[in-house]
Amino acid sequence: MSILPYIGIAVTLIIVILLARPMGSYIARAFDYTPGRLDRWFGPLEKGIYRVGGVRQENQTWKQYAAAVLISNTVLLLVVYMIFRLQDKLPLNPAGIGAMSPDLAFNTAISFMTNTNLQHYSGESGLSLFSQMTAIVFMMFVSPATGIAVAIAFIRGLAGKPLGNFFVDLTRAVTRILLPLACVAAIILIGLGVPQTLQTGVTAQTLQGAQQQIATGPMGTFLAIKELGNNGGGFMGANSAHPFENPGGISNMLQIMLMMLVPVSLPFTYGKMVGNNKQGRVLFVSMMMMFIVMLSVSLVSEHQGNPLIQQAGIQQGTGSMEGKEVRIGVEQSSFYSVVTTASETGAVNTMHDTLTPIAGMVAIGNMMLNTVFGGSGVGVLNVLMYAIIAVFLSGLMVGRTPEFLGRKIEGREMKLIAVTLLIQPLLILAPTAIALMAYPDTISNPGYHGLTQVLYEFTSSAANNGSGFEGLGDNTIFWNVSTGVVMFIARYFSMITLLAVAGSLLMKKPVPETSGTLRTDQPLFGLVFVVAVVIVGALTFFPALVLGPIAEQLTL
Amino acid sequence: MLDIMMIVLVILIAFALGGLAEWSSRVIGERGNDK
Repeated sequence: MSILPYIGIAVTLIIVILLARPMGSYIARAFDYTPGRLDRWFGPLEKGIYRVGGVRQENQTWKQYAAAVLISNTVLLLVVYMIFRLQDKLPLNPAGIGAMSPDLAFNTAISFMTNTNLQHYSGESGLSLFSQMTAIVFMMFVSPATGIAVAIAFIRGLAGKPLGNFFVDLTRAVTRILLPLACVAAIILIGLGVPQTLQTGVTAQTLQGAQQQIATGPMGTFLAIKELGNNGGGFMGANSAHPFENPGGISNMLQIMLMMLVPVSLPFTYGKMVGNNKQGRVLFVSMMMMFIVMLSVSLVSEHQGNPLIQQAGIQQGTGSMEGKEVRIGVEQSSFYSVVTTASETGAVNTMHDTLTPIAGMVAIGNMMLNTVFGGSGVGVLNVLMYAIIAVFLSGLMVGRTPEFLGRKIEGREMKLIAVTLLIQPLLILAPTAIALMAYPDTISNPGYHGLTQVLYEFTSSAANNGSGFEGLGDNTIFWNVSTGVVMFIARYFSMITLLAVAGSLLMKKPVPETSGTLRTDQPLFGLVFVVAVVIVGALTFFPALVLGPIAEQLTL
Repeated sequence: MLDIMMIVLVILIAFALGGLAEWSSRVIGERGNDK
């Protein structure tokens, strides 16, 4: 066993941890409406955007904020749908790629609008350059920016401040965070060997003398926002397992850092915005502990390999290499799979279908919990929801009305949070049951693994992750429509209800802290938070996991 | 035909989510008052 891959993992995590706090502070400053230095740099561009878009920089109520999110995203969805349907008639289509079918366009438009990037098509053969460069890349900026904006509005509500203006927040998320960082990342990635060209392909002669068409395109710019915005959709069907999309070890590390950067920073943004950095630190440490447990379980399982191969007398000194890129190896593949599911990115550098059952369960578990950092903005939104649940449960245990950040948590907030908690298992388990009963012919594996394939697909859709376990014949009307509906509802349901919670808390008078108030900036609260996440998550999804990956592991 | 069905489905879900916002508003006691 080589120790080098583990050093690579440790170095990557240390860099990410060191970047989290300054990045979190920067994000908090970027969304501060009081004039500051950042306005001098970005103000002129933003004012131009507001003028063109007719944006009035006024605070919105939670309902106006939610309506702005929903209406703007729905309109964009319909525009992108039309681009996919008409791409054969639009410019920049030198490869002559045909229009997408209506159900696939429906799925793909929702997928990219909701920051999911589930792909039931292969990028290099399913989309024209025009679709890739306008619809896809545009959505790759707008969808994470939407998530970040809603999270910032929610944090403002918790802090007792007006929620702000969605269009201003959306613009700032793009101009101050995503665009500058994506530019720097794109230049580095191109320097590392990722192609950046408008040429759609080159013809090469193989060793056997045959002609082979190798797809290329503007991949450097695409890849940067794919990872930074927790999008995950690949330019190539093979995603980051393709040597153009992930040329080597350094690009692999950089992609992991980009995936983690915004999600790990937002707890610190929260701490700074509510005026209590310790709170942000407690949540960050709690999530990092969960992440390290998940990563350790995945690494151990992948390193042990498949017992059936062991029994056949085949050495597995390098671990479970099935479905892995040899140049990337087991450790970095396992690390990538944990990061991509924890951060709800969905990019892959290995075939998740061939992960060992326990490593596959870790990947699904990350998406089911959606609180091991989670995606751009929506991750911290979920985390704060669980923090409120932890406060509520603690309050019940000691017989006090729970308080969070100086405001009482009452039945009305808990009713909205309970509905938000219940919708996710409904969106995952109900369609999984329907698919298993009605469409077994689209599942490539029988038994426990087949169940895991279907469970993974709907979990990935509901968590807006987008990675595929693969193995499903998923470009059919049923899969395109069902996963599309799941992605759409899952994305906006929690945004709406949690904005309502913020609006409700905003209407309440602050209550002074007393000796009986549960301190939410202490390590004990971090523990209560983790217990709340594990108990709620385990109670909800454990039976499904028992029928899938756990049963598969036990029968190997 | 399928195009129309897909677009109608998108609009229906958006309206349902709008209904969720109205319901949430009632739950938190706004009763239609945005202020």
